[in-house]
Amino acid sequence: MSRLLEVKGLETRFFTQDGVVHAVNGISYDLNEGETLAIVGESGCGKSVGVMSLLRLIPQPPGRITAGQVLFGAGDDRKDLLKLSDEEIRQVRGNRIAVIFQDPMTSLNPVLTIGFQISEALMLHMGMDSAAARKRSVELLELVGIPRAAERLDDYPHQFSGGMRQRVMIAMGLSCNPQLLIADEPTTALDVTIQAQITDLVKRLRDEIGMAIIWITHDLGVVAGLADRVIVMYAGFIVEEAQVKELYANPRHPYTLGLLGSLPRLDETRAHRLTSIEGLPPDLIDLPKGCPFYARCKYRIDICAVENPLLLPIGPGHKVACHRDISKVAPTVVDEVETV
Amino acid sequence: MTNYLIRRIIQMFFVIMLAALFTYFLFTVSPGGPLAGIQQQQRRITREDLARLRANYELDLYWPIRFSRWLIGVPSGPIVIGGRELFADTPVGCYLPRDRQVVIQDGQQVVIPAGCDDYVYLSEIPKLHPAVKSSRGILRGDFGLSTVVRAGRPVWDEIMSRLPATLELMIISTLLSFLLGIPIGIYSAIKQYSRFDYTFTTISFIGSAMPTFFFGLLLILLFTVFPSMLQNTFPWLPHLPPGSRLAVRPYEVAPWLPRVTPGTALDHFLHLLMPVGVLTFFYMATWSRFVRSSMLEVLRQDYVRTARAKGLYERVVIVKHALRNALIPFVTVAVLTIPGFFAGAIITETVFAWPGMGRLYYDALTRSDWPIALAFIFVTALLTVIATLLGDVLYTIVDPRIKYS
Repeated sequence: MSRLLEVKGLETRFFTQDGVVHAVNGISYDLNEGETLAIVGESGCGKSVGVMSLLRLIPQPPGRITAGQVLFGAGDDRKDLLKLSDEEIRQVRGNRIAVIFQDPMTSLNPVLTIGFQISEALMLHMGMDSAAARKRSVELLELVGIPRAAERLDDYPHQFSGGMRQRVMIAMGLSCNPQLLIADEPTTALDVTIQAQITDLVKRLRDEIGMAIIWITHDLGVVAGLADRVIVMYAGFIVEEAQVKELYANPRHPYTLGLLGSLPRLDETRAHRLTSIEGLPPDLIDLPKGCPFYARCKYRIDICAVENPLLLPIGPGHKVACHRDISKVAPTVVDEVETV
Repeated sequence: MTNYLIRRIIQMFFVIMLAALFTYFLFTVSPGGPLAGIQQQQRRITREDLARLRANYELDLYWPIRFSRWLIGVPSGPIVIGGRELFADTPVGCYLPRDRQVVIQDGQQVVIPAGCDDYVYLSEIPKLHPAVKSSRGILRGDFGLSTVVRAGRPVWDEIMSRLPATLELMIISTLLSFLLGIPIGIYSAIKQYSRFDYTFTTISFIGSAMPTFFFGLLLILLFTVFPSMLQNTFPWLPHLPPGSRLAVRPYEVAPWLPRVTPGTALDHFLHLLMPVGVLTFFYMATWSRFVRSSMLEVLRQDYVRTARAKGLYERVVIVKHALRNALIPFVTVAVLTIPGFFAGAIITETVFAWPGMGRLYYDALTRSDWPIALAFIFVTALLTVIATLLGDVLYTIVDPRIKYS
């Protein structure tokens, strides 16, 4: 499989009145064609900003991408998205890279029919006339499982339920056969049964169409059945990256351990208590000098306070950013933190 | 929708009636009135003279009776049903009111309470009030006769003679303020915190904070008074007509311009410049602020980001996706300018001696010409209610989420 996307040292800052928010702090990862990558982390850890930066969709000002490269495409066609002109990046958006957003309630324009909102991209990127775009829109709506698609084309978003709207968003995202689909917490705003439907739908469509997916979520449960590889982010840094099975079986970063420990499992005994990660993520305006997880870490040692560990490979396809060598099997708590 | 409209129109009728009742009542209880000046000279005027004058303005009738005559034109005499006169002897007013008096009688203080020495009975109305002042009532399209400003002329004729001037002034300045204010608001929102935005928010702030009478006088000072004062030093300074709608005799604006003949398009234009400038500035400030804030609100919405993520041209994102939503509140507020087309701009018209509705209302108020003032308020209230309904109906057209049933 060939490389589709290569992100190198991406750094995004927001210059606000309160100070500079270090939202994304030099993250690097890559993605193959047809691969599904999940990015997990708690709210405000830079997951969304990180991927929105790829398409330069962050509000500018106050946001600015201060460093990095986003190489997208195969072979000779490979270009740095951050260096494209506004017109060139516009031709990538919605066409080669599509986005599905978190809240389908607010992500569709309330005063335009969904038929119009889907056709719009088709006419723009695929050069269809309105009749052809309409026909294709019906096909797309059928593809994502909207009943009586032809009749519903002239309906407005408020006439659809949340799950149906997210299907419309997916249809819109897939309309131009993108090579990469970015799903920014697409199931967070939906209830659990609908979440499963949407996840299954995306899986089915991925197998049919074969696009690569970046799936942003804070729900590790969703990730297991969907992703090939997982990136764990914390305070704008990547703290661990691994194949999905490897990450669940052998988490190596204290934060990943914490996240997994907070997940309920069907095969646990009743006496097992879910653990929580004490404390809050650091203020992104005033990042600590050392490891960003230092304040909440059970395994911290002196060096953690002064030096932020690098993301280093520890096994095939497995990278972690930690000064200690800990694992799920043998979590070696040397010096207990006072708060524990 | 039909049901909704019927319900709304019935509601509107009651609102109008209440507004009419309230304004009439307020005029009745407010001090002053057409006889205020005369009453102060009481020593020279007899009680009987005053009574005659009062009867002239129908002030001898009780106010609910007066109100009813003004509104629907009844009672104009005894009520006749089947050839029989009913309530002919019911008192409906007082021709000769009597104040509370204290007199000395046989060395004793005697208090004569306030009362009435001569009542007006229903049957006397046709004789005392020959059915001209409120012949048919305002609801039946008869606005009565002016009492002071154009004494004896029908109010409606006076309104009709003033309306063109007001329509001209208001429509031009409203349209201009839309044409300037909306694009400025949009651009300010797109380029929030840019130099353009700061400049125009400051200007709008000044525009909406500065009273029009002050700005009007300032313009007159700058373009009329100073150029005249400096005529010897700077004879080339243009000198605009300070007021009224048309000139009476030919005049010169600047030596480098031909003399202006009254009634020509140029004459019109020169007289419009300053009042239109004041109003446009004022309205433009309001609209640009309104559009800016509503546009800023919309630009933050998720669906605008969706539109960008689709790869649409920025122009399409702004116009089709953002502006379309931002104009929803605007449309419903913009229809409320409609009553203003009739009511004019009271202060600006007065400052520039513009012969329009606003100035007519100002004159009617200062000189207690109640029929004119009441007609003005009534029509304005009616238009306001109609415009509100129109705004609500337009809402269903611009926003598919709104349905009335």
